[in-house]
Parts: sequence; C-alpha cells; structure tokens
Amino acid sequence: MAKRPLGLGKASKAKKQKKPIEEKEESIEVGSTEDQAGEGELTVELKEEADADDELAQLQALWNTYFESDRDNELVLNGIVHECDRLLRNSNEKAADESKEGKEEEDDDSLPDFFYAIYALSLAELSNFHPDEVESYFKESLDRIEIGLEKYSESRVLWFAESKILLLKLSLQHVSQLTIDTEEEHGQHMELENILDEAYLSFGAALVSCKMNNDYSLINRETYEFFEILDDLLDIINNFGKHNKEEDDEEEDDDEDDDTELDELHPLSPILEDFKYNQWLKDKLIEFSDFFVKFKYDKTSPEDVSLYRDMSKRIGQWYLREAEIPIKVYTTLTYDDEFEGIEEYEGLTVNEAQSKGQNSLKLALDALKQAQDEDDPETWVAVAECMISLGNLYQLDCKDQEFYYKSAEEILIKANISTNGKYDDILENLLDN
Amino acid sequence: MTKRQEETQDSNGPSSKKLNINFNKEEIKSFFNQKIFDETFQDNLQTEIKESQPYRWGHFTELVDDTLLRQVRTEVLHEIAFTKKETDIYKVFQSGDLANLSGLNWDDLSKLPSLYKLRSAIYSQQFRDIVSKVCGCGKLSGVKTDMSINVYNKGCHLLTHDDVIDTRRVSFILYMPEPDKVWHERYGGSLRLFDSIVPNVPQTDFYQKFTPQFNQMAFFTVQPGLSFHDVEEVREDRKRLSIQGWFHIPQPGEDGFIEGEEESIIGKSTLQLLQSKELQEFDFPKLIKNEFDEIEIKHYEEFENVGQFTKLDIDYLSKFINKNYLNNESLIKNLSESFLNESILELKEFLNEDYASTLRELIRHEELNVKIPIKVDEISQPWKCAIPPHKHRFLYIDGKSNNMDITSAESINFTNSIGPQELPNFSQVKSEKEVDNKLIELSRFLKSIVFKKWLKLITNLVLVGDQVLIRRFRPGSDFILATKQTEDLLLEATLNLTPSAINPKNWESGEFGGYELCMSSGGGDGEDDEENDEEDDPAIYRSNGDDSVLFTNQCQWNSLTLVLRDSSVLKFIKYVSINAKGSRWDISCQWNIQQDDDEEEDEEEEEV
Repeated sequence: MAKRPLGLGKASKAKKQKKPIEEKEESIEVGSTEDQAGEGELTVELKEEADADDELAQLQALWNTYFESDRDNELVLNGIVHECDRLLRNSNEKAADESKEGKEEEDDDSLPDFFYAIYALSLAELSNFHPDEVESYFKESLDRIEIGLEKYSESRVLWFAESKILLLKLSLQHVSQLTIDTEEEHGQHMELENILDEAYLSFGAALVSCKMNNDYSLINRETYEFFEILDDLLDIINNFGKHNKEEDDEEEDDDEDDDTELDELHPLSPILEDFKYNQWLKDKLIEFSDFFVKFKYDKTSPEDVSLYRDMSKRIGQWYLREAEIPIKVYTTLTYDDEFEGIEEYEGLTVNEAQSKGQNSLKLALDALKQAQDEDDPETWVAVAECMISLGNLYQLDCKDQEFYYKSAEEILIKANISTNGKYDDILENLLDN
Repeated sequence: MTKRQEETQDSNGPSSKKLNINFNKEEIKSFFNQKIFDETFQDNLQTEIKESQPYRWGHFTELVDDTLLRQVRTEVLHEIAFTKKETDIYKVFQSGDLANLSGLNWDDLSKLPSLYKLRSAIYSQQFRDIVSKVCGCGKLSGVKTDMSINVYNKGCHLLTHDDVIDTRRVSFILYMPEPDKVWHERYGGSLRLFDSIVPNVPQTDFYQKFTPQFNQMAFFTVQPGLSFHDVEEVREDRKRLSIQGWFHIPQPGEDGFIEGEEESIIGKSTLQLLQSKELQEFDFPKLIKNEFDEIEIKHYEEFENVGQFTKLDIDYLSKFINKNYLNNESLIKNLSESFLNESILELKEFLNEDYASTLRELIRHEELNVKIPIKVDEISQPWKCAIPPHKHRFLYIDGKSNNMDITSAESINFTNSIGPQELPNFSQVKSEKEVDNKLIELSRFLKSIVFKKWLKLITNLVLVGDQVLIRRFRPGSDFILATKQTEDLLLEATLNLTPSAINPKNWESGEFGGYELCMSSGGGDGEDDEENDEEDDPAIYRSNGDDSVLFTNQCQWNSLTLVLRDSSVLKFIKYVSINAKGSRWDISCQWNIQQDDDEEEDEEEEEV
C-alpha cells in the first residue's frame, strides 16, 4: 500500500518538530532557476532569459528583475552592487595586467554604459534602506554616473539614469529635511533649483539623443519613471506643509480649501512659483508619449498597454490641472451674484475662461479615454467626471451640455453596477443638478 | 477580571489622588443633556423601544454634554494609541492597553479626565435607572463596568453576532465621529439589526439600519439568540470613533442582585449554541457528502498510474485541464510527492488556456454589467444564499433544484424533515446565463470519474463521497467564519476563479479580504479555550498568532488548491470588502476518503 499524507494540521506539527533551530544566513546568488539554490543562499529567479555565460547580461536581467519587483529587498540590491564591484575589479585587474604586458589599453569598452547606470541606480535605491546615510549613497551613485559619462559622454542610458537619481536626491536628501518653518539660508533654493535643472537637462538631452539617433529602445517603463518621481516631487512641493496640521486633518471634506501657504522665504517657494517646471514636465511627457506610441507601442503586450494607460492618465491629469483656473473663473463670473458686472477675474474674461477651459478639458477627455481600462471602473469614472466638468463649461441646457451630462450618466450607472454603488453620490449630484 | 471598587462612582475607598473621582448627583447630571431627565422624554422613549423592531432597541441623540464629549474625543485621539485587530469576524482598531477602561491606572486617568467623567456618568445610578426604565430590562450593575474604545477606519467591520457573553444585560455604543459633520449613510459604518428566523438563527438580510452621528448612543437589551447585529464596513477613508460598552446584571451586594442569575445566563451562551445539532438544521448549504457506490470506488482503487488513462480519458480531461498536468509524468510525480509531505498543493493555471479565458470573460462580464444581488429576494436561480449570517453568507449553486424555501422556521422544517429529498445533479441545473452554465459544466467535470482518477494520481487517495459547490463571495457582504469539520480527514479542493485577481494588486495585500485561511486549533477540540478567552469580546474565534496559521490563500485566478484537512484545522474565508475590485469566485469540493484500517492502527500506535 502506498504511503498516504498525514493531513495539513498533523503535517505542520511534524514539520515543526523537525525544523532546525538555527537561522540560515542568507547570501545572494544570481541564477535563473530555483534549482541552483544551495544551503544558505537566496536565489533570485530572473524574469527573463539571460545567457548564463554573459555576466553583463545576467546583471542586466537581475536589475530588471529587481525593478519589476516590489523593490523592498535590500539583499537583492546589495547583490547587484557586489556584482558590480566584482565586475569592475575584474575589469581593472585585466586592464592593469594588459598594461604590464605593454598592451594598449582597451578597457574603454570592457564595461558598457548600462553597467555604470545599473551600478549608480542600485546605489541610489539603497539610500531608501539607509535613511541616515542618504547623502553618501547619492554621492557614490552620482560618482558612478560621472565615471560612466567620462567613458561614454553621449550615453542616453546614463543621462536617463542621472536624471532619475538627481530627482531622488532632491526628494530624499533635500526636500525631506525641510519643514514648513524652514527659512532660506545661503542660497539654499538655488541649490535645489540647480539640482532640478540638472535633472531636466539630462532627461532632455537623452530625449533629444533618442530622436537624433532614431533609437527609441529606452522609451520604456524604467525611463518613464522619471515623470512619476517628478510628479510626486512637485506634488509634495505644491502641498508642502498642508498635511502638518493636527489631528483631524484626514476627516476634512474633500471640497474644503486648505489655505496654508509657504512663506516666501521658504527655500521651496521659488520652485513653487516657477511655472516653467510644470510646463516643461507636461511638454516632455507628451513628447515621451508620442515617441512611445510611434515607435514602441505593441498593443498586444500587457506591459505596453499598462504603460500607455498610465501615460495617458498622467497627461489627462495635467490638462485637468490646466483647466482648474479657467473653470473657477467661468463659474464665478457666470453664477456668482457677487461678481455681477465684473468682466475679468484672474486675468480672464468669461469667454476666454470658457474657451480655455473647454480646450483643456477636451484634451483631458481624449487622454482619459485612452487611459480607460474596461476592467477598472475607476478609469471610466475619471472620464465621466471630466465630461461633467466639460458640460459645466457650456450654457445651461444647451445641446453640448446635455450630451456630456448624458454620456457621464451612462458611465456612472455602469460603474455603480460593478462597484456596489460606489459612485452613487456623483451620479445623484449630476441628476440633481 | 477583578474590578477595583475605588474606581466606581459611589466608592469610598482609599483615595489620596489629586483627580476628583467622586462626583455628586448634580455633577453627574451636568455631564448629560438635561432632556434625558425629563419624565415625558423617558416615557416616550420607553414606548418607542417597546414598539421597536426587530427587537427592543433605542437611541439617544445629543446624549452627553456637548463640550464634555468633544473633550473626550480630543483626549482619546491624543492620548490613546490604537492598533489594528483582525480576525475572521472583525477588523477594527482598538485602544491598546486601555482596551478595557476599567483597567485604567491613575496615571492614565490624569491624562483622560473627561473620559473618566464620561465613564462615571454612564455607570452612574441616575443614568442606569433611565436605561433600565426605558429598556424594561431590570436593574443594572454599577460595579461591573465594561467599556472599550474602537476606531472603525476604512475597511473595518464587525460581522453578525448577538453580544451574548458573560452577564451582559444592555449593550450600548456611544458614537463620536467628527463633530459638526454629518456621517452619511454612504460612508458605511452603520449599526444593522437582524431579525431571527427562530432564536439563535438570524435572518440573512438586516431589518434595521442605524447611521450614527456624533453624540448619539444606540442601545439594546442583550437577548440570547435574538439581539443579532453587525457593524457595516466603513467604506471611505474616515474615522468612526465609538465607545462600546455593556451594563451587566447586578453583582452581589448590589440592588437587584439575584442569586443564581449569572449562572443561568452564562448557560445560554451563543458560543455553546452555535455548535448544537438542533441549530445546524438551519444551516444551508448542508455539508453533506454524497457517498459513491462500490463500482465507482473500484475505479479509483484500481487506478495506479498515468498509463491507465485511455485516449478518451485524456480527451475529456484535456478539454478542461492544462495539458502540463496530464502529460508531464515527472511533474505529476513531483506534485504527488509534495502533497504526500505537505498535505497541501497549489496548482497554478489549472484550467487550460482556452477554457480559462472564455470562463474569465464570462465571469468578468457578469461582474461589470450585472448588479450584484444583495438582498435575498434579489437572488435568482440557480443561485442560493448560504444561511445563517452569524456563520456564513455567500451565494452558491449546489446542483439541487431551486424550489427550496428556507425563509421561515416552517419552510425549513418542511425542507429538512417533510418534503422530498434529492441528490445534487448539476446536469439538471439550468440557467439563462452563459456564465452559470459554464460554471455548472465545470462542476460536472469535477464530479467526473476520470477527474477523481487524476486526483488519485496526485493525492494517492481513494475518494468515496463528494460535495461540490460553486460559490460567489460578494463584496460588502460575504464570508465564512472559522469552522472545524466533523470528519477525521477530508480532501478539499478550491478551484479559485476570481477574475479580478488577474491583477495581483487587487487582492494580494489581503486588505480586501476574500482569502482562505487555515489555522491550527492547537490539537484539542478547542471549545473550552474559546469560551475562556472570550470574556470581553463579541468575536467567536480569534487568531492565536502567526504560529497557528497553516496557510493563507489569497483570491486568485485559475488556481487549484488541494488540502488534506484533518480535524485540528480551522478554516475561514475572510469577509470580502465592499471596496474589493470584484467578487471572490470559486468552486469548492470536499471528498470523503477511504480509510485504511491498517494504517489507522499504525498511526494510533505511533501516537502512543
């Protein structure tokens, strides 16, 4: 008679009895299957095929695996950095040997540009695990970029990496140290602006280089992350100090304004006021997205579809933000009795506001439609909300307004079906008005 | 728990502390809204409660002096740390070491003077008399105090229970969401009261909903087997702060104390009743396995290896199963070994790609386009709703006809003891919907002989009886509380078919529930432990810590989990959050297995 299993509870008990007491010491080994795991080693399963004899391909695959993970494993990062150290050491030894033998130096291409980019990005990522040593990690990281650029002065991969690292440095090393009460000292804001400008410069140069060389291979999720980090950073700067109030903040209704403003002496104040950053970001995002759609987008690839939707959503949000002031001006001048007879508000007449607002919202609507995922009602509702805002910018009960309201209503009804009425209040609001 | 006499309002115990702990009648009165001392107000409330449904309950509005309650709220938010607690029955943030305010020490009280005033007021003779009068419930103890502070944040909930624990006589909840703001019904967090089919068996749908506002107190007499209620999940990112407490029956030495009353109440504990056989009559679906006949069992006994499959067998299996699980002998061998060692096995991408993608589209289409039936009368055949809701609630198809009425004691009695009986037969179950028919087709496959032969390959087990259920756990509604099986050993399979789990982020964190969790009950029968531990908690089961968790299975798409479950394993399916991206869908199978006499004896000897 064949052996039979014990049952889950008993099997677990039996296992506990057998389990050795001492903890295993973990180390990392680059490998492509779990079978390679030896005693005390952590094996990272690579998400892609890599030539087992090609150390650099293995390194790239390991970095990609880390990038696509939750990025919460310091051990993997350490593994990448150790591997980079080793490869660099080997390369230097080889160069030294060749130099001794009187051969000409040929190490310029022994380690490619992406090696330095991975090295630098890994060090920058490590700063997340060592909040007290952030400065030194970023210094080391940018050093690697510098060394790489000395060898490959026109490297797009290094420019893209540098732009991201600079933004992370700005966020983790500088902005995180500021409080609402920090006052400007010794040109601090200049330093912050310089870092931001440098990041823009590198990213811009990389994009131009893609275009000049007709090489769009780096237009991908990893380089797109620049926009996510920058958007988050600008968001932090825009909302700086607004969440520092006591206790009940989280209970504030969404529609309540928060009047906290940065003191003009605050080092972030000049960045906040400088519209160029926002405008630049929008322009580059659209350019990046265009490159992606024209040269990279594979509609059958789930990763590509997901990236395209993310980009479209972000573009849509930018246009929505752009429409905020025109919407405010239009509704105030049209419906607020206190503004009766006043022709201009925030530098706009009612007609200018209406036309500007409609333009921005139409562009937002186009982008948000592209971002729709038939599996995710939230993305449909974003379209519906944009339609309602657009409808609001037309004359009461006119055909266009009716069209946008009706379309929004249909979407919200469908979204409510699949979400147990999550958007009932928006729908009720629309129907009431 | 030992209560300290000097903490109570009437105490004269040693008190050299600075904080004023003795309040006179006028002071106590000043802590309340004066309207509650008005006789007419009390009489009206008494009448209201007498006529209330589904059982005697009532509420005060603006109960406490407004300034005092605002101060209490501020103190609580500033001085008390809350930690998340989650079991099969609730998710809530509770005040850590201050969970039971009776246990406060003087240092704590110095930081919480308003809270102390409030507690003194609530347990004062004046207020107890009012509650006792309007509820008509008899005298209440001023010595045995029992209060805790809870925060229900987004996702927090407390499933249906009747509060019958220890000597509780009246339950109350004083609500403290943000003052000056309306707590809208759409935020969730309402108190919902359930009527009962018969005592100890609550109805599936709630009868009454109370959406709380700042400074309101809801209360009801704790009635064994009747006072069923739950706290609806909080849907939005808001804090619903409340003080939950109980008035107990008078203790020795107090006015109204009755010798032997405590013992008689404790005897009626819901915990004891939950497992009783009479009440299991009201459980649907009934966990009854259908025994196979000898000829069928022989098929399994004689089946030993892949080579015994005929071409027809393989053709039929291939229509459903991923070919890797059929053709790859070394994989099958590995799986079998793994199951032998672990008694658990997870097979990803179990259904073949074609079948899975069609099924996924159909299920997802249903989710996105058809409103989920929530109330019992919205559910249409072939789906049924599992009852009673203090044990489980989910939709299911069991392969039996749909003319079964389980809405009243009489109809349940007819179904169980009078009317025609039938065995499940998925071939006879018809639906207008393609998605239902696809799921039914799959269930028929899971009941096929050749599938059970394939199971023999993987598990080495001869199956002798089965039950197959197609299940849907709806967001904001469904769950199964922890239960143990009666059989020594059962083979269970859960074919997880949650289409929204294609995106792992939708479920992986566990935040939205829906996961299946097996835990060890510690070897014994566990009932005594539960009883002793649950003095102050309405929860029926609670996690014993990480060590006891045997495995957790998040919602997934197209994954088959096989478990050989022994009687020490408790299992539950966590309540699915209303904010989940879809329902949990699965097909649950249970099989009785052929016991081998020799082996049983061997095992017994080993244990000895």
